[in-house]
Amino acid sequence: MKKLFYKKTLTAVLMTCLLLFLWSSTAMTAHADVIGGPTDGDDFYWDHRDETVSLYVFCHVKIETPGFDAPGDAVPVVSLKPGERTFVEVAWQDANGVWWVLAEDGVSGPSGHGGYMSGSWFPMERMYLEGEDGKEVSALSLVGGGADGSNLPVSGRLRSTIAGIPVIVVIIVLAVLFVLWLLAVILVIRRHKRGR
Amino acid sequence: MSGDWIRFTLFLRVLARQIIVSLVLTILLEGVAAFVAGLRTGRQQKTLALINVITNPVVVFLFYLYYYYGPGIPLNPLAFQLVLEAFVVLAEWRLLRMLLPELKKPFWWAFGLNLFSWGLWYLLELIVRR
Repeated sequence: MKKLFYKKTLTAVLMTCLLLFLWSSTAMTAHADVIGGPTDGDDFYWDHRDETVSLYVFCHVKIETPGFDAPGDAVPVVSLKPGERTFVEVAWQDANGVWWVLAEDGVSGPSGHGGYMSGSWFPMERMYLEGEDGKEVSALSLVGGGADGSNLPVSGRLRSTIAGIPVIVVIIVLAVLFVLWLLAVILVIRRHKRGR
Repeated sequence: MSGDWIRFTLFLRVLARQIIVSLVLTILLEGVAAFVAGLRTGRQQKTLALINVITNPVVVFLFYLYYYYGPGIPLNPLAFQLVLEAFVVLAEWRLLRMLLPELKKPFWWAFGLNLFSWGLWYLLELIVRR
């Protein structure tokens, strides 16, 4: 009886953890979308990912004010009113280890107005975007381009606020998953032995 | 913060999320498909879920490992997924044969269930991402 109680409690706790994680992990989508999702940008990335091509990826984070015509694939993802703040996390690396981020009008961020940043895996985990006086930021797009200056979409999707879950939590979740996986392997072996 | 560390943490985050989402969806999809196709006892359903718990996280891990740390092989991610799925079918075939000896054609069960879940998953991704 006691054993059953513990078993059910453990299952309930695990299920709750999983559901909580699933719920919170939706905020991480942008990582997958920027880096790993099957979008136009990924094709671009993968198609050029060999040692023979000298490739520069040009990541262009742009805040559009209404009516502004942005180059490339502008995907509305976030709506910021003056004073509201959100941030994007960008991490993109080209074959040469260089990437660029450009913030333009309507953005208050570490890059300032019209500035750019570059570097190998530039340590910009969070770029804060803030609506400014009299301006309403309506869309955000991430546009990439080749070394020749041509614009190519890097990612078709970049969702709104990305809440980073602490790495330690992610590591604990992965450790729990690994233990569950080991238990499953042990169970299969035991079932097989019992079957024989 | 170094670039390698950022890349590593991104890899961990995406991995954790994808393992959970993929596992839950695969168990649900294959469970329902197997039930409709005739695997209806609790033992059969549990065994199928157990097999998925073993194979699915490994596939997700290998896929994202390749995605983030691949050696630059010009292999399309879709092609790589298909290669992994082929290994999954083989592994699940052996496991089904071992754990559910009452199944007459375990290979076709493994093939059919994986084709169904992977195909539906792929379609869903296409729809969601467009």
